[in-house]
This record gives sequence, C-alpha cells and structure tokens, in this order.
Amino acid sequence: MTMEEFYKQAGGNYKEVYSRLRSKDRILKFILKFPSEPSFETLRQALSTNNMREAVRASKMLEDACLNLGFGSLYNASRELAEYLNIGGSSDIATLWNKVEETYNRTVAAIGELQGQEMPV
Amino acid sequence: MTNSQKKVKNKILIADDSEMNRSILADILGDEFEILEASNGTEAISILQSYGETVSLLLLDMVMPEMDGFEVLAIMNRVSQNVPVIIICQEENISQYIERAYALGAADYISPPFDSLVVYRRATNIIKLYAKRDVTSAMAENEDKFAKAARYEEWPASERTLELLEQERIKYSFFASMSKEVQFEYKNNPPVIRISEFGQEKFNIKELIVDPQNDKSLMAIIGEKNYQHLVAALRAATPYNPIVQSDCEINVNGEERWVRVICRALWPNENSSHYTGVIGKLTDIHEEHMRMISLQHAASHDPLTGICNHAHAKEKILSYLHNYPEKKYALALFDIDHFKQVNDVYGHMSGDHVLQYVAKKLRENASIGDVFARIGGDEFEIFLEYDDNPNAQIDKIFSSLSGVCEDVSFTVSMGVSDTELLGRNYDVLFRCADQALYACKRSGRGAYRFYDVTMKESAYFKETIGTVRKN
Repeated sequence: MTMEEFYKQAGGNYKEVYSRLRSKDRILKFILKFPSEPSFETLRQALSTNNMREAVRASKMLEDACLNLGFGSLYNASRELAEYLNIGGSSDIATLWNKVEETYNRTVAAIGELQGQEMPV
Repeated sequence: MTNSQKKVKNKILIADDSEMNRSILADILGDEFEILEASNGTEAISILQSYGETVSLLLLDMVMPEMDGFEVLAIMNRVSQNVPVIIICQEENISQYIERAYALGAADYISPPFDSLVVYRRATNIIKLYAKRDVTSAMAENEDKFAKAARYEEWPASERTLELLEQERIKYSFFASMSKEVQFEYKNNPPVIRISEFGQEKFNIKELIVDPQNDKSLMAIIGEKNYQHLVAALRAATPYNPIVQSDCEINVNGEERWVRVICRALWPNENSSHYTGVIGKLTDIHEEHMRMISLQHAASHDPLTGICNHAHAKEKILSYLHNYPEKKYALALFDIDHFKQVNDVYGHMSGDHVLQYVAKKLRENASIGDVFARIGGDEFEIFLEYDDNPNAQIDKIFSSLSGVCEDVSFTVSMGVSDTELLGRNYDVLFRCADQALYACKRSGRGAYRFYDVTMKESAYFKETIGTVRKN
C-alpha cells in the first residue's frame, strides 16, 4: 500500500498532508503513532459514563489529530458527534458514536496494512 | 566542540492536552529549540515558575482540563511574566477566542492542521521580535536619567501612572522584606496564592501556588484544618467587617511554630456576596505564645508540686458540675497527718519532698478526667466522677497516698462528700468534705470518712476551722 492509497482509504489527500508537514518520515511517524493516541478511548469512556464535558474535550483532541494527519473520514464522523454533543443532544449519540467507531477501526486497520509495507527511514 | 562553544537552545513550552499536538509541534520545532511540555494549565504555570523568562515562547492551547489557556494568560499577567504566547485553537473558534486572548497579551495564533513552515516561522519571528524589544528596553534604561526626569512632565499620563505603580510595587516589596512578615495575596479565579519573597525563603516554597487547597507543599505547612478554619472565617467576613485574624500552629521546615494570620477579604463592590481575593500576612508569634502558655500555667498550678492550684481546680470543677448535670461526683479533701512535725523533725526540704511525693501518687492513681489540686500548705483536693458508688475509687486513691518518702513515714486523713447526698453546689460539697475530714481527725487520723448528716457543723467547727478557712 502506498501513502497515496492509504490516504484514499482514510478519506484524505496525501499531497495536502505533505504540503503541510513537508516530510514523509514525519507523516509516517505520526500515522503509526495514531493507534496509541488516547483521544478515541477517552471519548469512548466519557460517553459510557455520560461525562459530556470530557466527551467534548476528547472529541476535540480526536478532531485535532485527524486534522493534522489528514484523516478526512474520521474527522467528519467525530466532528458530527462533537457538534451534536455541543448542542446538548442525547438521543442520537449511539448512532453517531457507532459511525465514529467504525471509521476509527477502518482507519486503524489501514494503518496496520501500511505499517506492514512502509517502514520509516 | 567545547561546552562554551555549544549553542544553548532557546526553550519553547508547549501546553496542550493533546499529546499528538504536542508531539507534532515538538517535531517541527525540536531541532532548533529545547522543548518543554505541559498537558494542562497548572503544569504550564509550574514550568514557567521553574524556568522563568528562560522560556522564550509558550504555545498555549486554549481548551485544557484543570486550568485553561485564558486562566494561564491571566496568571501570567498578574505576575508580569513576559514570555510571549502563541495560542493554539481550532480555526472555527478563532473569532470566539482571539480577541480575549489578544487582550490578555497573546501575540499570535496557530490552528490545526499545522503547517510546519507556518508554525516554525511564527515561532521564530515572535522570539526574535521579543528579543529585540528586550534589547531596546535595556537601551532605554541606560538613557541619561536626568534628561529623562527633566522630560517627566512631558510623559503621557499612562506612562507616569505605570512609573508610579512600579515605584509602589518596589516600596511594597522593600517594606515586606524589612518587616520579616510573610505576606501573601490570593485571587479567586483561578485560585492562586502569591507568596512574598521572604515567605518563599522562610517556608521553602514557590512564589505562585495554583489551586492552594490541593497543593501538598502548602498543606504540609499550614495544615488542612487551619486552612479550612481560615476559609470559613473569610466566608463569614463582609465588606463592612473584612478583617480576619487567627492564631494557629504551622510547620516551618519541620518545626511547629505559632503564627498570627491577619488578612483582609476583597470584594469587587460592597454589594457582592463573595470575596474575589484576599491580602494578608503571617507573623511569627511562637515565643510570645509560649511565654503566655507558661504564664497561664504558672497562674493555674502550684509551683512546688506542678499540679493545679485551688483556684484553677475550682474553675474546672464548677465547669463539670454545670455542664454535666446528669453525672455523679465526689469531692475529697485530705491532709498529711502531723505535717508540722515532719517539717520540725526532718526539715522543710523533707516536708516539700513529701508534698511532691503525694502529688506524684495522685497523678499515678487518679483517672483521666479527675481533678486534683494542692489547695494550700499540706492540704489537697480531689474531684472525681463515679457510676454507682465512689468507695472503690476513693479507697484506691487513699491507699496509695500514705507511705514512706525519704525515710519519712506518714499517713493522710481524708473527708469525702458527694453530689448524690448534697447536691451540686461547690461550696456545700467543699464544706461538707471539710467536716468529714475534721471528723476523721477527731476519730484518730489515718483514715477516710464520707460525710453524713450527723456531721452537721459544730459551733467549734464554725468558730475555729471555718474562720481559718475564710481567712
């Protein structure tokens, strides 16, 4: 899998990410770091304990990570959830969260595939 | 390369709760700068305190747990921390945050997704700009002071005000250091205490303490109970009655010391219900306090035996009789048989030792809560609580008192009265115990007797013993 193919799967654009971070090694380094980034798990825990304030903070962290790494699909899913939480909604949280989780798992799976083929220099 | 030739890197502090943000920014800037990291505002303030103005730049996220970016900026302003700040916030929130951040002194902002060139340029440009500003300020300070003073009247009013404020600050710091008092200032939002330089040295503590109630180093000094007591007193203060004073014992570098805390609560206006700040000072009163304790002890205790004197014992007994009306008490008076002879035969020093011996036996055999005193000469008083019958306790104490002290063999005679028979008037109890003691002496000494109604005061008693007591 090339970087371009990975980003197509992640709903992003490798050229755009490269134009900002300006180093393939840097981009790869942080892509591979993403699965261990705690914001997704923090968001899951916050939603399960109904801690909306923490959920909003965690969703912001997840959005920032997705923005920086150009994970467009996951950014859109978490953004939708964050906006819903900000207006105080509750009935659709499960549906929105499921979407975030699916997209997250797909992104992490693609990272796994990338890791097998691309090693940072 | 020698140490002197190695370039010392400028420090950049990155304060952001997102580890990914911190990592990316550190990666962009880490080649040229030494990176320090904080995951919340409290950590950021702590790092700024430790490193001071050796930090060349702060990258500050506005949304963080514990203390957000605005609160960090507010604290930095309060302590005139001159580290330039670039805030981090999402593009969509810029309009919401930026005006307030600029008002608090932020210099610029960056937003995810980070552009490495933009981040690097903004960071380096701000650092260079502030470095030039510091050089210019230093040059201005070297200007001919007379020429500067001569133009004082031409200064704009704001500059004169700042100059006056700076002079007031210098005066305040000077007098604070001369007074040997620990001065402090507290602001509510966010909760921060600022300690004077003298206080920092005395307590070995930092200048700024964020969230003081949960600061371990502060609580180790002042103690949780003292802190809560002070907070409660301040909450009870009003704009018309704003001063709070409290004496308490604190820990100063491992030593317990008494201090006096005097502070004044501050309100934004006289109608406010909650204070927004406090100013105050701590003065060491340990020697004065211990002298007072010593004087109080001397006033209430017999100097020879160290036990209570009559006045102090009476005060305690009256308190018990008043506060515990349901409890049963016995009052005993005793003296040393033929004590005058002890002094005449063995000397007054031996007599003193006998008195001290008796007091020691009282300490060893009385129960916690019992009151015992030397009421004069060779006479002692005991006051104790009992459940059903005081006989066993009286017997135990009486048996312990007679004995031998430095080859002086002696006995005691004791009279006892109790509340069940006589009621709770101290003078009645005392007088009846005295009559019982007199009856004991008449019937041979070396024993104890409980008062009974047959021991009503004889004319002889009233005329002789009663008169002596009164005198």
